[in-house]
Amino acid sequence: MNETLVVIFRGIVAFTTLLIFTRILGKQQISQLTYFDYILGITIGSTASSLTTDLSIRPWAHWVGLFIWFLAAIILQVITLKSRKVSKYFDGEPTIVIMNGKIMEDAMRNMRYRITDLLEQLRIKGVFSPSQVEFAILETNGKLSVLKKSQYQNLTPKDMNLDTKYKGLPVELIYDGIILEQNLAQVGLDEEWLKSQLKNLLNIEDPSEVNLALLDTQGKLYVDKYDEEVEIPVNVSDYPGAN
Amino acid sequence: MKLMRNITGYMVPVIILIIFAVLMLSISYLKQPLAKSDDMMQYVKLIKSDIKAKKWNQADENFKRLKEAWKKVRSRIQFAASNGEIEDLSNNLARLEGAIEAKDKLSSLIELSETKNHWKSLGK
Repeated sequence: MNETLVVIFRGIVAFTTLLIFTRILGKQQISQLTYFDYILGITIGSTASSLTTDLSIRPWAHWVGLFIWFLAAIILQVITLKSRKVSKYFDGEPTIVIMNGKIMEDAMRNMRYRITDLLEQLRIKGVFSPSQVEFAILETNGKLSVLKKSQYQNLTPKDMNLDTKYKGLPVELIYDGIILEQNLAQVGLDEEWLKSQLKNLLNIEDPSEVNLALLDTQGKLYVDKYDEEVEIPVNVSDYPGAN
Repeated sequence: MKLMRNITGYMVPVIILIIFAVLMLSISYLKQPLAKSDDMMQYVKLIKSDIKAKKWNQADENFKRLKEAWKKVRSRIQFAASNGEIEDLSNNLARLEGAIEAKDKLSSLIELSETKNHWKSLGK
């Protein structure tokens, strides 16, 4: 038995399976995971790692285990999507921990959530005293949402009755030296226009010199070239080695 | 275009997963002889009758063939089998070799029986 070959084979199986399963499971970011999603991820990952290196058990057994966890997660996702009640039962509900500057001790005790944790999460949000808080809600993913009292909120253009221009998403026109024709067509422009813009505005002959080109909703082109000469005003490193 | 994207988006991963499952479940087929030279159960039978007839030289010859056959089968099933299954059968053959060398009928028959049992349980 050639262990190296077997581990290589199992590694490929585990890697590909994990890739497919996680891709199907969804786009949730690590920071948005609920506690259960987090445990789920660890278990699926650990099963995949056993599938690769634990040669004392047939790969099929590990693979079935991986598949069952994936299936259970998918079923749970579908059920929680369909039923709000089940969703609340599994994921829990957001809990109010500060109301009108007052800390809700009972709710915090029920969740075994410490005052120090609360103060820390408030500080991360830029709030250094609970008295500034109208509402603080602990979300199911463990993050704190804070609504400051109106007198402590940032001033916005709306408060000043100022008119603002529409700001949408910029569109990528060149990525890694390659023109994205689909995106160009989406904004009703063509390659000729882009090339002429590059040449006239920035004296760029070939789009392959461009690392990234974006077009914002104001029609302004942002271009980042590969070989740019940038003067570094301050060297932040304090030792001569690599950083 | 959309259909093509659906095919590559869904069908390719599904096909990959099916291929993996088939590969991992293939022991029962892969352990079967592809030629006469890797028919392990045939050699087990031959060795058994040799030992019963006390033809020790012939039993030794057939044992060498059995060992060669196991080498071939082992290389085929190693990806889907567990380490333990393969080692159990290899250890049986090692003990069988010693028993035949010592012309020990009792031990030889015990090992042969266990070899047969281990071979049968491969892929079960």
